[in-house]
Amino acid sequence: MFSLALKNIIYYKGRSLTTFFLTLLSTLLFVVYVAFMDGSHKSMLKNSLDIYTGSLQIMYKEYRENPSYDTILEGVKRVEKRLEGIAGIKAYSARLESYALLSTQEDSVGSMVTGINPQKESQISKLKEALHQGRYLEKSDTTAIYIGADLAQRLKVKIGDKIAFVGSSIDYSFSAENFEVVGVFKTGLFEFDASSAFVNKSYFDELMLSEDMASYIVVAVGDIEAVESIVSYIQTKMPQDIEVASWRVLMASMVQAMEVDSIFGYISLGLFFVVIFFVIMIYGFINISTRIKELGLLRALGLRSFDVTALLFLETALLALSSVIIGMVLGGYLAYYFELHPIIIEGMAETYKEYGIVSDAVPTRFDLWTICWNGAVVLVLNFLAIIYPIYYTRQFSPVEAMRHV
Amino acid sequence: MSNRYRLIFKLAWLNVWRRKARGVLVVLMIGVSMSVMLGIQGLYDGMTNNMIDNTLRSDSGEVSIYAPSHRLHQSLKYHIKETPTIIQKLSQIDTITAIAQRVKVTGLVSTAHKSSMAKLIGIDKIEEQKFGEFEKFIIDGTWSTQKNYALIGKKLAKTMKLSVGSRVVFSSQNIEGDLTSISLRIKAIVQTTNPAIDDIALFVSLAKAQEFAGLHLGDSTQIALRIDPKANLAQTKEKIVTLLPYKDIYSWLELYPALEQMQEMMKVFNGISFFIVMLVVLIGIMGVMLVSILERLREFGILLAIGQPYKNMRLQVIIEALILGLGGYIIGAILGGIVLLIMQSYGLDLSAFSDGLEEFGMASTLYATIKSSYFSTTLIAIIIASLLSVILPIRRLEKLNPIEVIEGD
Amino acid sequence: MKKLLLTLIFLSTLLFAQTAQTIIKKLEKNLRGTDVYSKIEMQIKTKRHSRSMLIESWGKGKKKNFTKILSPSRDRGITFLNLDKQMWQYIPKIERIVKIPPSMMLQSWMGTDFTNDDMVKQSSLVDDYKAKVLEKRGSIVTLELIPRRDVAVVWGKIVSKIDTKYYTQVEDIFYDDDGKKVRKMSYSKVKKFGSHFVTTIMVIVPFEKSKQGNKTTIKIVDAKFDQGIESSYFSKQALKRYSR
Repeated sequence: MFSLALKNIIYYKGRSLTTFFLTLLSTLLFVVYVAFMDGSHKSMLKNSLDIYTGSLQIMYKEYRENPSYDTILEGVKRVEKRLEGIAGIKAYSARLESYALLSTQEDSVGSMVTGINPQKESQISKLKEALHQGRYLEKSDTTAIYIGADLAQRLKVKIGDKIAFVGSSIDYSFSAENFEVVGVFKTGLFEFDASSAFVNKSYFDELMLSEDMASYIVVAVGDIEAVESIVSYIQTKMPQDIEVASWRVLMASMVQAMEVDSIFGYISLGLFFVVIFFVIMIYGFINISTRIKELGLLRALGLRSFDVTALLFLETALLALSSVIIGMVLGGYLAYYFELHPIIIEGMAETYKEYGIVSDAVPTRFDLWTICWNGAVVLVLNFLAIIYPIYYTRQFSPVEAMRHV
Repeated sequence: MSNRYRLIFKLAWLNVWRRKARGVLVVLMIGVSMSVMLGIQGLYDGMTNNMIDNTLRSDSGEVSIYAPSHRLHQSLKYHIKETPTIIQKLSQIDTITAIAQRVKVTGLVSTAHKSSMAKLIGIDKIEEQKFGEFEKFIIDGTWSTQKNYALIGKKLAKTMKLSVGSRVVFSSQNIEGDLTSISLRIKAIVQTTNPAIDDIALFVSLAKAQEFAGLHLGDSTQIALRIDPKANLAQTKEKIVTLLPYKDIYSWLELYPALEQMQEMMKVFNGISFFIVMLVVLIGIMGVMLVSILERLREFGILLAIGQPYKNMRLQVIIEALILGLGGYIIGAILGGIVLLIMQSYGLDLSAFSDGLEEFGMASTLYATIKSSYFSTTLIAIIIASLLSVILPIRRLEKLNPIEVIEGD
Repeated sequence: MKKLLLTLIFLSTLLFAQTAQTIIKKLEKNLRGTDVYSKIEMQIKTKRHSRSMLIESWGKGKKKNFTKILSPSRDRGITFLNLDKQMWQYIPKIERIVKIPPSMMLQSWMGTDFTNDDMVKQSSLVDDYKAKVLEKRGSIVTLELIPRRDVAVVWGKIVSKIDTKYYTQVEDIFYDDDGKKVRKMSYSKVKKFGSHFVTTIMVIVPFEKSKQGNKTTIKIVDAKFDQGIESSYFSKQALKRYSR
């Protein structure tokens, strides 16, 4: 049976080739399109996460709802000890965020001033990379402050200028200090650049009386896809009153926005598949209906109707399978290639910076599982498309079939 | 002459339906693909238009006028004086369809429990209604900006846990720099899906805002203009600039470059999907026609042999392709039309994703727009695709040697 | 007969209302003077922390106020000036005068359950509220204070218990517009300063669930009324000059 199927495919070269290419094209398109879509989501995510939020954060359980000095994380060293040796964690660092007044002769602006560990932070967020002027913070810094470009503009300060910091310490007493601007950063996120400033936490702690305390501990993981399992694992090692929140929880609306984008993407693909489905059905129909005579002959020779159906299915299977597999391989290769060497669209970051896009690259995402189910969908479509044509031919009795013109 | 054509047409028609199932399938394929594509196009266009429209209606209009430096410093010091005179001047330009003046002050809104950042926006009821059908933004309550009544943006109301009838205190610096507060009662909740409004707006009467800010009657911080959509925006803007040389004048494209980009992207996207569909339609018809001709080679050979001019057969084939294409178009137009009408009236309900959508300024139900260009462009494309699709089959026909065909099998 | 009854009722309500207004007026007179000097000790307790502050304050009318922090030693020498609805602060450690933007003025004042607005605006009970007597028990009168139309205060009503012996406050409960309790201020230990009677201990407790366990206690250690305060206190120069 198998050899007969094969022979038939080869005999009807033209049609087989067309069907083959159609399926190949659709698989290829599907795989590449999804790779780009997933890639853009992943990069959007990575960009916003990498800039500041991090893959997950560890905080006192009431902090997320009510961020204040009353819900601050105490015993940072103890918590960090529990993080040691957990596989998958790339780096972690404690941050102390405070809303304070930054003042110059020109103006006083309410800003978020955060104490960070400069070295550890550079492994987690893009603050160091975003350096625009001057220098990044160092381990030994005391009164050095690293501020956003738009904030610098508002305060009309440049490198070397002094800014007065007035805020409240953990115990709500006043904390004040004169800081010197050592560096200016530009992440491209306007909101962030216009209201954030960073100082060395070890010095900040003295000022704010926040030793061994933090607003939260930010953690970067090696593989963003594994975040959820790492979160649950860390949670098991933490006491009841501490929450481990993944980026999904921290940036819920972004997650939804990506889901909406995906839906639109799939709708568009759906359109394409509707068309492909019909085209394959038509070609299948043509193929098979022109062979009614031949098929009738086969049945007259003793092949059961079931066998004929099986034969047709086999032919479809061979063609579809081979084209889908090749499509998957080709598409997979493209996805893989563009993940490593993304396409660059100049100026994209500038235009979309409010939506959190900060790089001009358009990457793809290579994922074996995604490619497989993509291929499976096309395969299934092929089979579905062939059902009606086969059904149509079964209506003819062998004699009618042989007489068919 | 006409008799000949009638005969050819009849032959074409009969031939198309020789294999009923095949013909029906092709027509169906074209029709369904077309209707789905129309649906998607309408939805995407609707979505973009909606977003842009909401922003223009609720805030900037097509063109906005500010006092110089106001946008940079966001200070009341830089405000527009003698607004009524300016409005008078602007009435000279006939492409301006509506004008709305606004007084905006950023400050703090508080209740006994909570405080949050807010923007007091003084508006004129009649102007706003003409400007952007403001009444349609109201989702709860009634529109009144008399006395101390205020309208509040939906998200702000949610953050502050307010509803119609709640009372709030708004505080800010007036133009002198003094801290001033007023008590406001919420009369209605407004949803524009423009985050710049929904997240922080408190609408009051123009007079009230002027009083609060310490401005005089006739002062404003923004004059927004609606321009006739058929007019040339750049030209109109030029006219305004000439008329008011000492003001900062921006078109919406300059104020919201991301929106413009989105519009462009939609066009490109629609174009691409359009092209793909047409390509596949072409392949579909071509396949059918090719096979149908191959089947009838003998027939054609006989006809040629008995003296039927080749021209006639070519015409017949072309007409067959056109019948398939146009048949598909009619089905597509009907189905597509129905889909678009439903989408336009009932919309696509995405309320499960409303949080994410609101973040990007979109409503949770998407409505489609219907443009006649959808149908006309598709018609032309299908005709072209049908014609292109028979090139190959006709080539095959040309190479026909009547004798070979009649002899062999 | 009916007419007499009606007239009587009308007269008595009038009387009651009169009484309420009078009480409030007398209360305010007690609390304020043309100028006031006070030395205040504040104890602020939250779920996690507890701290104590000592401040001196000079006030002229409602629009001028100069405050200096005496303790804790960390904050010693920090001065504040409220003038014409604006607020400045001087911090000796960095030798800088900083203007406090309105947005920060309206938030919680140093972690207490006061807002800066409380400190700055100090809305007048007489001007902003309409008073009505609810109950009279011995010398304690319970008043219901409802904000007058269009007055910019966030409270829906204040129920105030006043001791008419010396016209001092006993207890204030602040409600939001929906009639929910938001905070309670309790007053005790009346002392006489010149011709003014002042409750020297004030305790503020919030009712909100998220703020459970918070308590702010304010003790007036010393006060002087209408003794005259140099106008030099109410200038920006004062911030630095009187910091020592």
